[in-house]
Amino acid sequence: MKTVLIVDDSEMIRRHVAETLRGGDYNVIEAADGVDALAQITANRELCLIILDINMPRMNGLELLERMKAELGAAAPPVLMLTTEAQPSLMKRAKDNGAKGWIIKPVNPSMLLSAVGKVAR
Amino acid sequence: MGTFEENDAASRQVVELATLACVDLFAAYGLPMTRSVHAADAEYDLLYCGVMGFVGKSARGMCLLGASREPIEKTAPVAGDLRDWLGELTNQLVGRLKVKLLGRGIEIVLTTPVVLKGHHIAPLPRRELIPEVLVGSCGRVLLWADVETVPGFALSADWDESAAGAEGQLLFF
Repeated sequence: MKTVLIVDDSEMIRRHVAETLRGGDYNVIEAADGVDALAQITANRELCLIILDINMPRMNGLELLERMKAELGAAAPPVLMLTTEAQPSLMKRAKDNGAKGWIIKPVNPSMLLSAVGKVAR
Repeated sequence: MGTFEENDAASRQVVELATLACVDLFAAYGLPMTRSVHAADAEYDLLYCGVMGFVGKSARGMCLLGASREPIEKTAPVAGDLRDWLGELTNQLVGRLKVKLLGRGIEIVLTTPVVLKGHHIAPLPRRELIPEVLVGSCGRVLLWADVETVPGFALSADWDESAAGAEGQLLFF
């Protein structure tokens, strides 16, 4: 079963996304910020996708993307941003650092599953 | 960053945008709300509140979202922690306001939400601030928004759709 890492500081959002993905037969692991996520990425090399919020404590989503690009390069798992942010400059920064897509909250479960199916490796 | 001052016209515009954002937010989570015309007479006792500040080069302010327990629980997509969900709702509310301001040429950054519970909670601004009151099938939601701006600031009435994405939108890179 493919494994997705959900990174969001809101437990409710993580739970909502996790329930949606489990309904699509994905295994799910979670992280509450970029620092936790880095540890999860290191420990789980076979991630098929990361769903990533931006505004989080300790290390935000864009900082995590930059770290992943610097440290993992092309081996980094694909990333789908899931955020309240809608600023073109932030989208460009995410794209430049390897993100494959951007969803502006709120989460639509069927759209999320469809997007995950297209982006996951 | 310039000196900020009270700006009644801009405050009214921001309150209007924040109220529209709040109506849209609750509707997106399946809870239609309408504006009450009795805003000034609003009575509120125990409130669960989320507060979030914002600041940009030309404007700064805050939004306070207050409600009884029911509207907050009703909008939660999964059962869980009320505190966590109220913080996320507040985050999404001010995120929507940010999109509306971006479309009018105003760029802001947001603080993290602070969540409170208490009786007769209200902000303590420099001037009197009356909440907007939204009414739905399971209670009321109160919304305070306040803004200060640099001198001469005016919010554009024109909306630039290309300045920001829309809520619920999916983009592939």
